Amino acid sequence: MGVTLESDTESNMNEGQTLAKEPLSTLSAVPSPTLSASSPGLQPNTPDSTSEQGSRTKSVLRDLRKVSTQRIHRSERIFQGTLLVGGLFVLALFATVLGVSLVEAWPSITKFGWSFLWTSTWNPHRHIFGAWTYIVGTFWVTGIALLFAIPIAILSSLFLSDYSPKWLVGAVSTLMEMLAGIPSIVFGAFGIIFMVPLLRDHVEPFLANTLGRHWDFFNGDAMGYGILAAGLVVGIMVIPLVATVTRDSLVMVPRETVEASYALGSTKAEMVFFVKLPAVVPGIIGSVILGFGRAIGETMAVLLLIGNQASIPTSIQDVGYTISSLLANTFTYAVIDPLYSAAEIELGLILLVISLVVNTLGRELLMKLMGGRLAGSVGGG
Amino acid sequence: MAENVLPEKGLSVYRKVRNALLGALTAVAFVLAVTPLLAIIYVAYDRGKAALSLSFLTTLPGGFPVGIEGGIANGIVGSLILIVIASLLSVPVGVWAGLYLWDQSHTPLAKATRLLSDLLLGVPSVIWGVVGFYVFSTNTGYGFHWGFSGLAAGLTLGFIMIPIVTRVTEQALRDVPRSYIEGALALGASRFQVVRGLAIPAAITGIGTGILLGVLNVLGQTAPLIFTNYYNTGIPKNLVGSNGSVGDLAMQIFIYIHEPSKGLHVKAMAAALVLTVIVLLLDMGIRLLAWGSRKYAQRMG
Amino acid sequence: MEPESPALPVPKIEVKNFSAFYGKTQALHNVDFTIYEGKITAMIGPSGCGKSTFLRSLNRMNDFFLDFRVEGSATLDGEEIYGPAVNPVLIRQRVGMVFQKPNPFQKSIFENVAYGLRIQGVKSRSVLSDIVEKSLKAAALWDEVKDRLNGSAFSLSGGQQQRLCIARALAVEPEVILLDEPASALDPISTARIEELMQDLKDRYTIAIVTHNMQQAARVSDRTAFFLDGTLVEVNDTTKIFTNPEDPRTEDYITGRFG
Repeated sequence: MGVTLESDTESNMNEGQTLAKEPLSTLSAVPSPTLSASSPGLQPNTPDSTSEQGSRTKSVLRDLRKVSTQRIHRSERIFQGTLLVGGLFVLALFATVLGVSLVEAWPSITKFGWSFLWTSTWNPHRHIFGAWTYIVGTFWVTGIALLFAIPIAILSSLFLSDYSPKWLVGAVSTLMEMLAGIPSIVFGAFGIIFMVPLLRDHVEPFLANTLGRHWDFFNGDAMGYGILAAGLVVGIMVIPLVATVTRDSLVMVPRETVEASYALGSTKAEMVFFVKLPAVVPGIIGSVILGFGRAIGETMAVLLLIGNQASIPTSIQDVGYTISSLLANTFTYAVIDPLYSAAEIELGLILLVISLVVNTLGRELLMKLMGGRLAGSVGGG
Repeated sequence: MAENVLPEKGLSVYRKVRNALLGALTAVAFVLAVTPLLAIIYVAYDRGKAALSLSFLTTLPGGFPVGIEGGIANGIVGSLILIVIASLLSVPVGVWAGLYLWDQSHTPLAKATRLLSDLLLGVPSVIWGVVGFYVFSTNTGYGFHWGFSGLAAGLTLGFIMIPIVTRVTEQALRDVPRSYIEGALALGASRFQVVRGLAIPAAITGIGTGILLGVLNVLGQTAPLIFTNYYNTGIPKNLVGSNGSVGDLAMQIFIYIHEPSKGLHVKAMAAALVLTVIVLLLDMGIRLLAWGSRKYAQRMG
Repeated sequence: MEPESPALPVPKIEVKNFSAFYGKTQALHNVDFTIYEGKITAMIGPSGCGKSTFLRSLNRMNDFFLDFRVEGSATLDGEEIYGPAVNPVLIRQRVGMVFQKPNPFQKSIFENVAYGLRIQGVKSRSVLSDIVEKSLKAAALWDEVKDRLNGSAFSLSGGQQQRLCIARALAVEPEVILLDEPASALDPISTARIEELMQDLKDRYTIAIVTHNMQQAARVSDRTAFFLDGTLVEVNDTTKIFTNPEDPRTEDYITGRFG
């Protein structure tokens, strides 16, 4: 009996939650006729008549069961097929994103080729477009953001994992994570109201008067707006992401390793700095990469703060433009001109490719460490 | 052992100072990291309090420049409309896709889909805006030709939400204990019955949390709206075609802060405070939900 | 020929009326115990009897449990281990520990052994190499790793890793070495090597070992202490404990009637 049904069993077995048909047969509600035929004291007939009768019953029931399993198989198949459609939606969405970007950028790609990447001219009237200015601007803002954010984020993550008093840990972690949810536009508005005057009236003149005397890099007209304002605000936005992900890696260092350090007579700082941190370097790199990915995609805060001038910054007080802020600012004007809009979308495509690569890299690194769950970084607003 | 090569067994001042210093630095860094949160709330309140009132939330903007009088009702209503549209798209699709990933977890196609879904999480918001423009708004080409409209923006936000809902749904289903599912399957239940009657209900809190997370994410999105809806100072009668734009809280802040009018800046900060409070409340709500479901799961054993 | 009179045993760690608590739960009750210099003292008893808690109290590793507290006296060379002005870091420099599961750092073999020295400020490469070599030799690991000192500690087998941990502990020149079931995660051959090692180290260090393996305690130690439910039931010369214990509970445990 078992043999027959096993051959009916679909080799449709997956691991995980879906189980094979075997349970169905072994726990079938239909009792085995052979069992009742041979059970003592039930049917004291002659063996011949019993088995003949028994085998007829057996085959009828077997056929019945075959039919019902086939029906079940078919509806299972249909169900699984339906599920597949859900997956296809996601595939279609991805294809749409990539497809639209490629298709709309195509005129620009074919016209300018690879030189698009390093040309710094951007002239909509003359139809000369080059990405370099915006690539540089994007990296300036991201660079300032990360320079500012990484030390603070890593030290904060140490606070979350090792230095905060136990009773406070939940509250401070929550505080940090909530910071991550504040929309970009709020940061942008805050930047305009608070950061720009601060930079313009205090920080930038200070820089010009001190470091600016020796290095032109720190000089400029103190306007408040510029890559410094944008970079700092983006940095503030990136800190919670880098800090929480790093904290997640730190928490995973095994207790025994920590104890080994203490047992050798180390202080807490020595344990943290010479044992814990080195053990989570891949996690730190992963979190920084994720932070990088978030920073380059950041739009609204940059848009409001960077000054929106297509020039390549030479000093920290300069204004500039990033890919995302250019797109947000000018696309609605560019649409009327096919090449102009194509060039902008090509810029977007560059940004898209960098983001995808960076985010994948960061995730892979962290998956290796943590296997499974991630506090996902969702592209900036 | 041989000669005493250790400097002197002990804890030098240098080591003690270093130890205390690291502790202090981490605390300082944490305070620095968290101060912006408090600063934002403080500044927004301080600069915006003149405009805050109940009527601020319930009146439409008016006057010239538009917004100098009145409130942000258009933004609040518009944001709600957008979230509803976005959820109507993303919840069925996302849960469906999440189910697929959970059920067919180990097939190569599912693995590829999962990878792509995760990649979608990293797409910058401007790109979503561009995609939304060409798929929904623009009046030429292969898209829907809806113009700048609430429907276009809502669906674009829905796009953004889909990978979030997918991922969280899959995770929530995975969290349902295997024994629970196997028990049902062993009794002869079909996959469909198991999914509908057991897996989804057990995972429902997780899925709900995921949907809220998605909403949290799109609530403050501005960039995609620039490309698909822009703005409306009132509440539209239709969601498609001309005059089909909706207001949006985030967009409102953007527009107000861009104007050189001090009065509008005050309103912008007030609106920013409202948006921040909504976001923080939603965040806390999600946490409570997650905490509650954990407690429930513990009791279930 | 006159038999040599044995030298008088010198107490290294003395524990009097010592009790330990995790919050409201009392883990150790009024323990009176002396660990003698240059001898191997074993602590045996069923799971949960408090022997590990006791061991970890000696180098203040229990301090990391927030609700842990002690009563009574525990002294190292006459100085209170839990004295109010005592810095645990200093205690741990004098009282080293090897753990049940080998726990090398994610560093090279060399850096693992050198760690304790580096944090104390030793920078000179030649001095470090010197001590690393000595420690690895003392831990009977040198020949196996001398050509790959820069290799990862994780490339070693379990038994080798444990000997690495021992070398690491030795490098800091402790006076006492505490071993918490050091061979329970190892195969019999590695276990035998570690037991051999302990005999070699005996003269220069004071060794205290917690073990659930009675035969090991009998093989290796000079004195044995039997713990039960947080109390020290009996402590005596090993031969006496295993051949003629005084307390019936000790006898029951040794003969395998429980545990």
